[in-house]
Amino acid sequence: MEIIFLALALYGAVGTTISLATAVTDAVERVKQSSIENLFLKCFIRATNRSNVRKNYLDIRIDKTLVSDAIELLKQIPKPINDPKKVLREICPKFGASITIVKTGKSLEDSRDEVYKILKDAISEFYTQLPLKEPAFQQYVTDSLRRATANHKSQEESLESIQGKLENLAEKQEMMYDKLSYLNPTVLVKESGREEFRNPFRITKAEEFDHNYPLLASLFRKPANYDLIQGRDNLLLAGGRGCGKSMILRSLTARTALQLQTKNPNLQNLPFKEAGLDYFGVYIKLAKGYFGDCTSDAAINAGTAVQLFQHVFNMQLLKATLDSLLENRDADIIDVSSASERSIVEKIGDLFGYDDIQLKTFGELKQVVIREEAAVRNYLGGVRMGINREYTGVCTYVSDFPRDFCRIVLSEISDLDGARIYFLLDEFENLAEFQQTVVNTITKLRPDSLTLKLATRSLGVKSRIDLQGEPIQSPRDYQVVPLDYNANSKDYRELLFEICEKRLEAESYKITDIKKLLPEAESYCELGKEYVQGIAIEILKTKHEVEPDKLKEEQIQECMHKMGIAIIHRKREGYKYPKIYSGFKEFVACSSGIISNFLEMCKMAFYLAESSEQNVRDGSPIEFNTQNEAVYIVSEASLNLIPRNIPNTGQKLANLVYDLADIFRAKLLRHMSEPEAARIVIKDPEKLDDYECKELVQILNDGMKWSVFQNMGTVNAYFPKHKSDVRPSDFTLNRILAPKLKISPRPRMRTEFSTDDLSKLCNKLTRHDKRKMLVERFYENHPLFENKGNDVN
Amino acid sequence: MFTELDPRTSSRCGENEIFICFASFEARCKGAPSRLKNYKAKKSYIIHIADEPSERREQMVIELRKILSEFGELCVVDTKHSDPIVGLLALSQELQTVCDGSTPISVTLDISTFPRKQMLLVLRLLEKLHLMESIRILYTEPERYLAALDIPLSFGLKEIAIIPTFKGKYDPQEELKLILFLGYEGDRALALLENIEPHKVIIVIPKPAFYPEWEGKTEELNQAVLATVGEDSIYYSHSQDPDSTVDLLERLIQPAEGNIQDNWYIAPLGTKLQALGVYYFTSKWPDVASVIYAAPLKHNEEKFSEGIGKTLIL
Repeated sequence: MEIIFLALALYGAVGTTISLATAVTDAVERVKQSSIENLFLKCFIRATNRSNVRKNYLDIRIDKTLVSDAIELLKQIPKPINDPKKVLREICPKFGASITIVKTGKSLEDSRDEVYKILKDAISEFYTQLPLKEPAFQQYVTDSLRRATANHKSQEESLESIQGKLENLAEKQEMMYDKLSYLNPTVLVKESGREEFRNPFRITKAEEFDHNYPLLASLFRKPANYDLIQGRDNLLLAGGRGCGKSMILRSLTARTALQLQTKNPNLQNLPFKEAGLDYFGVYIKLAKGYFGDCTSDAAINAGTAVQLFQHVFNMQLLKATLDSLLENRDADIIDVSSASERSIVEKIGDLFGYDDIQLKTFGELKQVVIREEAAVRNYLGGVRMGINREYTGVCTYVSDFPRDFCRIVLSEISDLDGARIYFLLDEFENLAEFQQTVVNTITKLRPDSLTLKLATRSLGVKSRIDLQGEPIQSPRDYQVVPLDYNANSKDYRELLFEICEKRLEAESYKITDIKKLLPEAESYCELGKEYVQGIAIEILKTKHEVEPDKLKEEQIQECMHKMGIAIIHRKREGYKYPKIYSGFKEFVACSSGIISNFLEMCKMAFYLAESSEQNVRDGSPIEFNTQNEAVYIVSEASLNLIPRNIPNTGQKLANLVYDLADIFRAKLLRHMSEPEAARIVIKDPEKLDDYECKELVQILNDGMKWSVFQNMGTVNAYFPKHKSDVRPSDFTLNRILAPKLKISPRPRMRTEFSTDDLSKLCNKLTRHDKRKMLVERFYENHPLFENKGNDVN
Repeated sequence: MFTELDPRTSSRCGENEIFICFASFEARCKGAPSRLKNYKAKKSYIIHIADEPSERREQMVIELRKILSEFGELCVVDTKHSDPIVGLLALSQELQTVCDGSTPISVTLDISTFPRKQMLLVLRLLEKLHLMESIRILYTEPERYLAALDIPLSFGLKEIAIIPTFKGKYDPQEELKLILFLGYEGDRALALLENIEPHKVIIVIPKPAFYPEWEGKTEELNQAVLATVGEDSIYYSHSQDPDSTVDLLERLIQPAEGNIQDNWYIAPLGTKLQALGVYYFTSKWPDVASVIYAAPLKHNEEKFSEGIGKTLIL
């Protein structure tokens, strides 16, 4: 309890009474189910791990007994505490003694300034962890104070004034929460991936592997259709953000593919000819490049743009191929003799049509490529500036140049005999429509020396024709491989389980079974199963007008399944964490079929666990509260990303998400037959083609592109809409957003909206009234659930 | 290094002088022109965003027109926030008419309220027209920025793109390194970082700050970005000295050694004078690095900056 005095004095109320401190302490223990000392200890450990001491020395040890002793010391401090900062300074040596730098064996007993920072940081976090706003907490404090009325009288302090103080404390806490950077979910998500924390889930994106091919290969888990992906057909890998497209493409690069081919993970640089691979993968991340601003005002006509882009694209393919050949030759993976190199370079040089340049090495050929790129760049730069310039480069075309240079490479390097060059083109959605048409032309021609493997996000394909205007046909020109996973599928769960296993193995965790490290809390742990069952029986009793003993077990179970989550949210309305998320299964469900969402939650859970000294590395399971906190943090960070990172429509999309969540929450809290109706169904999708819906369509499309909305299993979602196509009309909100939005992560039932409803929600003038109207539509009062009337803002 | 403009000795009149400035919603866009006593120019240009109505900006245009009409002939060049190339082409045509090659032309460019992208494009245009040799650059700070954790300087994200004519070499096989100059718009910096997804990020913080009391504000407003990197990835360059930025970029990228190994992106979200340093670097070492920019959807005109601070001259 002593620590409460200090925290309240520092950040809350000066002259805190014993009764208030006692009540708060008891209430914390009751609501958080953790002793106040334990709560502070966790904050102290986290603050130490965040401090410069950890950054500078990496390995530090905290003696929990000495921390408890230091807390005990606070008992000797006279109450009320009038100068908390002075007290804080005085106790620094005692707390400092509990921190030891492993490398030097010295404690921080004498590092008063450093310990002062840590303590202040710890007490700030501790204060923000107090559940001051939660109704159950307030109720407990009030009851406790009521019981101690005599004490209050003696201290001339009325219950009312204490309640007022409690409100002030909660207000202050809210302000602190905004100010403390280490409590900001975005900061936490960023920080949790830092190298010094050695988090097995720190790598959540393919880019983060850099050129570490063995690591990429060791952590990569092949999806079920990998044989098809590896095959010789042109391919379009289509999937939402974070579904693993880049990882798959990178797994096909020559060095990673070879690493995957070898059974022995310690055997690096297996020669290409021994591996039996029939492809040589070259990875390229696509960008609009100099053509990013090819608007009608940019003074470049469409024909010139197409011609120049063909040349630039060819140069990109060639440069990437040369770099890949050099890298693999240097790693002794392929053998390229000087004679072969010279022959390749001379023959490719001929393709440029130069008469006067003698090329001998890959390096020299690369210089030619760089010069050609510069020629396009300078020409376009001049045009942009309104200064006429002469184009000094040559022109190559996609109809023959890539085919021919690949043939030359394959025929001159004996190790690659019989193989094909796979161009692994990531982020196809970044290309403008005319650029995609250029790329499509290669897929249409299907040259025998190369294959294109494209990866795109939802709605990323803008062109489905080639330069001749011929339509791209699937599967003839390219096969479409959808990579969106169903969060409920067994395959997806197994995929994630194996991904975790590989990561935990790689980091030498004692236990590599993620289900053991992320244990599941009991069903309905928030209220207790019996309580939920009781409510379910009451619901059925009212509905069927029968006595409880007449109800069948299946009926009760079904009602619990249908209403369980709603009951939790209804009874815990106003809580910071109404539903508790824990266990591998719930992490999988919240990931919404997006691998990176799942990895982010694991990363955060492991980070929070390690930083509060839960020894996960040695096999300790992560505590339920820690898992739950991780889910809410990642959920909030994902929500914050929408207005910040989505160009143009980000803020409007975020507003729409909040409004939809208000509506779904109203159903969850009030509706008796369809509480979990988080599926958005547009009643009149044909109207989306109307001019009035232009902005709504843009917002919905951006929502799809960024996986804020999901439209499972619709392959058409990846392509531009044809006139005769009906637009998709059935969406769900990404489930990772559910915890923070306080809605159910199970979108089991439909909620119908008209395009007019959604358009009005997207218009700032009509938004408020429309939301109010839609929220009120779902009111269905039930005597069991009191209508608190705070849904409509 | 910039020095403070002395109104008594600041005049640089002449038939061969051109003045260019940008009309903003910020009061400080009047700072430098109003301090140029007895200044005359062959022609003055106000670059004006025409596709986004703003009462404050239009008021500034009226006031700037009044001040600049004292200099000589005046021309308002309309541009678009959504597409600065439009204004650039118009300015290019204008300048090519004025700079007919018969007499040497000198330029006074007031960069105070230019958006960074527009500023870099205008500098590149002047370079292409060989007008950078005799340029004088003016910069006026506001008295204070109103940015705080709960008061952003801008809202939303319009686009993240490489600035035209600032594209450097890019080898798909090599690592992407981002040098991120931080300013007072933490969300923009974070959005850029998350959209680019570089292999490595190097943070640059302006130090010393423009005014001593601004020290530490950049760090406060960029906590999320700073949380991604260790201390060894944080560098500092002078807020007012473009040369300090050039020196730092030369140390980091090492263009003098040739054969640059990585793909380098530079994001000039720091001070305007650091962005000027970025321009000097790319001008000195063309094609070595790309300059990338995150444009906001809208500035917080109501709560952006206050007052007119000192005017510096380079």
